[in-house]
Amino acid sequence: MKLVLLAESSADEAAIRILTEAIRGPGTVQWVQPPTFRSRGWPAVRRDLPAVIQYAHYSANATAVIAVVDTNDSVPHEAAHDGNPDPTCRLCALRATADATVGRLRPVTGRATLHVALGAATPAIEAWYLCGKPPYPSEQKWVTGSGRGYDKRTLKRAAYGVDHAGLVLMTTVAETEAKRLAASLALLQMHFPRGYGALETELLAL
Amino acid sequence: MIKAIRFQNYKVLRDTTLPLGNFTLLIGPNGSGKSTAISALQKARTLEPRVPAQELASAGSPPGRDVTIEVEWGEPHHASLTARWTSVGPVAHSIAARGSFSNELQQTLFDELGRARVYSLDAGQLAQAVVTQPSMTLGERGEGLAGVLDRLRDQHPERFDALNTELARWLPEFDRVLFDTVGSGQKAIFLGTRGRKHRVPAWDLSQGTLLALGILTIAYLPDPPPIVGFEEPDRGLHPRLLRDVRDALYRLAYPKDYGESRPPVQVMATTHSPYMVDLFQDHLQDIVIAEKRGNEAKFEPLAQRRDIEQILHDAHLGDAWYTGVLGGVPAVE
Repeated sequence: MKLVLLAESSADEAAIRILTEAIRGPGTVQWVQPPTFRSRGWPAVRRDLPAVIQYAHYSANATAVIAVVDTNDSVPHEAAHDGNPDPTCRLCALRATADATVGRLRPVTGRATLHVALGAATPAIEAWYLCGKPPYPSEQKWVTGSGRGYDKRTLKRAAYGVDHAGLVLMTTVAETEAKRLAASLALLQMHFPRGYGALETELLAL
Repeated sequence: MIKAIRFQNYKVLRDTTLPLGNFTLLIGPNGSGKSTAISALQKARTLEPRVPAQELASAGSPPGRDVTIEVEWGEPHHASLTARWTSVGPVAHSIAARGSFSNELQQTLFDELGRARVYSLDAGQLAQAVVTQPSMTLGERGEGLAGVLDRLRDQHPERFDALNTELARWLPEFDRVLFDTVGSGQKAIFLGTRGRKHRVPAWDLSQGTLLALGILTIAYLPDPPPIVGFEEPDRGLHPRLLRDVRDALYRLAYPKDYGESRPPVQVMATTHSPYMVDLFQDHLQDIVIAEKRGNEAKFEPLAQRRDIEQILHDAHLGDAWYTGVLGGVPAVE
């Protein structure tokens, strides 16, 4: 299947590609490139997603578009949002944008309906990288508030070991940790059942 | 490290203080004193221009009022140096120190300021072939690049290799800086295309490619100046390349985070690019806003704004700055 990935950086892209290939199984995924697609973080992802969806459908003949966002301090996705979307939840907001855009696509002969697989890392993708490692981040822990013992800044420091990580280091860490997690996706499912779980479910349904 | 520069009656900087960290990104409208501020360190050292205060004074300043630039150091010097221009011209520096003052301290402060460089790179200068000399340094407009890179290759081959690796990541069509002798014994730069099938002379490279090479070279110098200013390092470069430019500047300012063992360089940079500003979303303490009101500009550290977290809760930093809610945008009549 041909997939298009919208990411914030080449580091995020490297990790999401590895995780996607692990979810779908080896040799099943073909990435549409070049170009690589970038967004300048939230809320640009929401703004840019329609253009990427339209490119994926009309120009790239893709099976699906994948986008993963950081939740930062916004409301994390919850089971209660399914069927009753919360507009302050980034995953819900992105889903609404994706559904509206896909709904407007004109059918193209010989092409199936385009899918959009979305994920949300709470509070940032570094939490996924540190899954199963100190400070043992999880969605459940994050919503407990100040007692969780970490924030976005300390997570980044824990992931990269420095305060001002460059893209090369970030990409190396992203690849290393994504490969580790690819061998134990259940760990991500357990600790990030909403934000990662949504992505995995949608990818498996393709 | 220099903690702050205080300005009194100096051009548009009538009465303001620029706080400095390891890295400081100055954002604000044209004419808001960004360049004036980062070039002030050298002026404080040299007392140039040697003119009466009234020629440097803020608009509308009362006659006879002095102009001062005070540079304040934190660790390890804990001292300040004041350059003063009076109605008859510049007068001798005054130096104050928390501990004991010595000629050695004075010399150290002078040396540090004397080695400060403010780079405003120019593609034409960067492309020039040069007659190499043993201790060539990069000029503030990029003069001597070929000689500096030639020295890097000969004296620090591991750094030269690292620079080439980074160059290939920034500009994937190239993978090596090459040299050749042209004209009357001058050394010229060529960039080897990937796979070494072709080489492009510096004078045929795009402006952006040359500017990127200039920034990369400064970042990989073994002995960069202790204080460095960059005038719009984003100029001429694709927005997606700015993340790499930011990393190059951070390599200078935070060398340990990039595996470097040399001392940190104190870096100041200016920009007008929201894309560049975006890259500091997680490092708000690195940003100072230059706010211009009429003929006067003031500096405000972004991280000190009480409302910054609320403003950026659901917004991107560059977009927020562009809208004007953070200040630092051109005034409207």
